[in-house]
Parts: sequence; structure tokens; C-alpha cells
Amino acid sequence: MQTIIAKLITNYPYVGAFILFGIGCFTIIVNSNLLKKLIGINIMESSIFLLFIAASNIHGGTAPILDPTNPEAVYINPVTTALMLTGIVVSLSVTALALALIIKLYRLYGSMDAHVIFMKRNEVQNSGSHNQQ
Amino acid sequence: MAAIISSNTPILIVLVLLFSAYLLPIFSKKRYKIVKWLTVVSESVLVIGGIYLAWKVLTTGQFNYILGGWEPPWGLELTIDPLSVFFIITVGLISLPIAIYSLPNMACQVHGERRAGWFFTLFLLHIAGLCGMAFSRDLFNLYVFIEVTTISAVALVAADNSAASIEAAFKYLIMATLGSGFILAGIGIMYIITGNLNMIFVRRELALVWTDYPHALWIACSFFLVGFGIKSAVFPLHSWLPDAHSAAVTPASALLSGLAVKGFIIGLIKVLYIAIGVDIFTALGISTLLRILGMISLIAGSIFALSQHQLKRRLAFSTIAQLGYVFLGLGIGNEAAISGALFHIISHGLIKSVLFLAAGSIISQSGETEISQLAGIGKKMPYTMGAFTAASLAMIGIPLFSGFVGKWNMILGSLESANWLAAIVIIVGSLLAAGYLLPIVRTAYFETGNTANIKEVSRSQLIPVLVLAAFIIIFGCFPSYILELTRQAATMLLFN
Repeated sequence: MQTIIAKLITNYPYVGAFILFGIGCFTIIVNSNLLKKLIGINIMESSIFLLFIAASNIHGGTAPILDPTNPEAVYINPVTTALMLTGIVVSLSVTALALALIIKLYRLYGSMDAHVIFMKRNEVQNSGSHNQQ
Repeated sequence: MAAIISSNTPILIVLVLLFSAYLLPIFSKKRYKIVKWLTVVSESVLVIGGIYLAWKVLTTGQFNYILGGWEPPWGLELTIDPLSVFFIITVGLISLPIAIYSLPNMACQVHGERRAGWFFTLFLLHIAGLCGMAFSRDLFNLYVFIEVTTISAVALVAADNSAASIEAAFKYLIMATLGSGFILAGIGIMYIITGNLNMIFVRRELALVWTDYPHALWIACSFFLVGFGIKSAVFPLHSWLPDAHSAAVTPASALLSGLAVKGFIIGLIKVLYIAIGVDIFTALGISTLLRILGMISLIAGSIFALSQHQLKRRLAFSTIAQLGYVFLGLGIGNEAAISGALFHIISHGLIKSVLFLAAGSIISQSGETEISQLAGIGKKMPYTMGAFTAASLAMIGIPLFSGFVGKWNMILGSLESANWLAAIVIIVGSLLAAGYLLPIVRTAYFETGNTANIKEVSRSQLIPVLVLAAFIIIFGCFPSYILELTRQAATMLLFN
């Protein structure tokens, strides 16, 4: 038990990443406000960025630029940082698309709450089918 | 020139699609004709390139294409193997008729030629994403193409700007982004375990060290399964699909139902079979899970489809059921079952795009969306309804139609591994497919209704549907070339 706790404490960035991932998923599933769902998505994606960055970090490491005066320097793996730049771009475009859709939904239904939108849509559908009959 | 093109075909296919996608908006304002030609030309490049690569793979074997001359651990690598070539051919054969079907009247469906130009931008981006997914051998590269495919698919659903389609698109976006998050987290864990992103290197490394990190690998596998499961709508995670596929404009629902969900299954196959390896994920129990998920979504999707009264919603639920077949075939995991599952991917892609395009034609001509109001339409629209009937028969799995070949191979595979339950579920699924498709055909032909003002659609919309329906029968009668490709793909996945 103690070894597990010691491992969790030394690997605290991973623990933090998974807690944030859980918070993000929970926010997406539980909140009915569309904007809060979007914030949940952003929290979840940031947690994954943290996971990647933590994986390549070294305590006391420097940026991977060769320094001839200091041959014993420890360098950080730059691959994950580069990957996460791409990840941030993807997350940005998802956020932009989601915001555009939220604005359209707000104009159409006058609300940002998923329950209200669902009820209004059902009302429209019921009255529509009623008119047809 | 010819030598340059033939040695760089894989990347050229993706680049031509991407470039023409971003050229389209320039012409869409004043010269809509150029939009049409550019779409058809880039789609034809995809079809010709796919067939050329298939010929090359079948005659000389699989090969890798190294991007920019940087060798694998540092640079990216494209793989041209039976699996990727098979999927490229599937994408080409299905998306070209859909594009031709949608070109004449897209402008009035999405309100204006300008928006139609943007629609085809998304259309080509989506196809480029699918092709990139099939070619890529790098886990992060795979993720980037998954995102391109997902975002363009969401925007395609929202294309006609109606309240229902925007709501469905938002639901799809939330679910799909959740899925991407799981996939990216899985890739992160794989990178932490192995220190590589190239699938071949990952597998080499995993074979040495996986017994040290069984729990981490378990988490990574389940993350991949949930992520790709959401995107390819396996049963408990399917809730976005019926709304998105029934609310989208007709060509978009045909494209999404016929190709997009299969692209994510190809992604799952690549991650599980090429990056992790069949021995390891079977030892972790993932294939049992795939089998169970496949059976549940097959039965549940069919039963949900039976209870739908709207034509497009019934077809959307039937997509969930048919994807269950693919998951089941992958879970059984011997050569016959996997090649059957892959054949089912192309056959269901053809069938579902015929069904959706025919349904779209019927809805646009009659204005009715309910199945019960289609009475008598078979006599007024004989060719469209004939294609619909052929596709229905193929979905049920009648011999001489393409649906039969895949299901037959899957049943052979399940009997080979003494899995009686799977064989029974496959047959029950066929019966349920007959249960939810044949009533539509019966209503259309044998009931009389008020159909005085309905006439057949224009020729430019009829021919693509008939060509797709002809492919269903051609692949049903002469499946040998495609079956050879899928067999080679299955052998490569299992024994390579």
C-alpha cells in the first residue's frame, strides 16, 4: 500500500492528468448547459496535453538545443511538445466549430440548455405533426 | 513525369484531394461549373490511383512510402498494404457516385451555390481524411486524420442549416470529441510504454516489455476501444448516430453511413492488429469484448430499426446493426472471419449508400418521410425503387448479392472456431434485416396510395444510384478480386 502511495506521489503529473480527465468527462456528461459541455471538452483535452508533456519531462533537464560548452546537460524529449502543438490546434478548431454551433442553436431556440432545447424541439415536432393530421 | 507520379501515388492521392478541397471555395461564388469539374476530377484521381495501387500490391506485394526521405523512427511512413488499398478502393468506388449524385441539386439543398462550394470542400476533406487514415502507419498521424475526418463529418451534418441538423451536429461533435480524447489518451499511454509512435516499432517494443505493464496496456486498449467505439457507433455508445445520419442532407448521410463509420473501424483494426498485435490483445481479452459488443449491437440495432417509422431513421439504426457484423467478425479473429468482416465493409458501404440515396430521391420527390406514406411509390419511381429493392435483398444476404459473401465467410469463420452462438446471431441478424427492410418494399409496391404527382428523378441523380446497385450485384456474382484483397489483408493482420 505504501509503495503504491509513494509511486502516486512521485508520479503526481500523471495522477493530476487522470483526475482532470475524469473531471472533463464528468462535466461533459452531467452538465446540460452546452457551453459547460464545451468547457468540459477543453479540460479533458488539456489533461491529455499534460499527460504527454509530463511523459517527456526530466527534472533539471534543459531545452534540446546542443550546448558545446556544457556536454553533460540533460535534454528534454522535444517530440511530445511538438505533438501537443498539433493537439492544441485540433482542440482550438473543435472549440471554434462547437461555439459556432452553440450560437446557431441559441438563435434558433433561445436557450443554451440541452433540456430546454429538447423540450422545444419536441413541441415543434408535435405541433407540426398535429397540423399535418 | 510518369515515373514521378507512379512512385509517389499514395501521397498524391491525399494531396490532390486536399488541394482541390481548398480550391473549391475560390470558384464557388461565380464559376460553379469549375466546382463540379474539380470535384469529379479529384474523385476520379482517387479511383484510378486506388485501382493502380491495388494492382501493384496484388502483383508485387506490399510496400512502404517514406515521406520526404526521412527514415521511419524520425520521419513519417505511409503503408501500402492489402488493408489500406482495400479501403482506398472502397472509398473511391462509393464516394464518386455520391459526388455525382449530389452535384446537380446541392445548391438548392444547402441554400446557394456559395454554400454548395463549401459543402464540397468538406466532402473532399472528409475523403482525404479517410484516405490518410488508411495509409498512415504512425499513431499520431492516424489521430490527426481521425480529427480531420471527424470535424468535416460534423460540419457535413450541419450543412443544410436546419434546426434539427444543427442540434444533431452538436450532439455528434460532443460525442466524437469525447472519443478523440480517449484515442489521444490511449496513444499517450502507448508512447509512455514504448517510446515510439510508428506502429511497427511500437509492436516490436511491446512484444519485449508488455508483461511489465499489463495494467497500463489494458487501460490503453480500453481507451482505444471506447474512442473508436464512439466514433463507429457500437451499441451502448451509438446515441449520436440516428440523429446525425437522419438529419443530414442526403449525400452527407450516404457518405457518413457508408464510409465514415467504417474508416474508424479501419483505424481500430490498425491500432489493435498492427500496433498492439493479435497475440497481446487476445491475451488481454479484447477480442472477447469485441465479439460481445458486436453481437449486442447487431441484435439491438436491428430491434431499434424495427421500431422506427421514419425511413431515414430506420436506415440509420440498421447501420448500427451492420457495424455489429464487422465487430463480430473481428472478434472471432480467424482468417475467414476477418476477410468476411472486411468484405462486409465494402458491401455494406455500397448497400447503405444506395439505400440512403434512393431514400433521399423518394423523399425529395414525394415529400413524405414516414414509411407508411410511401404506398404505391414503386410504380411511379420504378428504377429508384428497383435499386432500393436490390440493396435490401443484398443487406439480408440473398446469394448473388454482395451482402451474402461477407456473411458467408463470417459464418464459416465462426464455425471454424466452434463459436455456434456467433453463427446463430449472424443468421438472426439477417432475418431481422428482412424484417425491417422488406415491409418498406412491400408498402412501396403492393399498396395503393395517392401518388398522382410523383415522377422519377432526373437522369443525373438516377444513374449514380443504378451504378452503385450494379456494383452490389457484380461483387455478389464475381467477388474474387475483392475477396483476394481481403484474404491477403487478413493474413497480413494475423501472421505478419
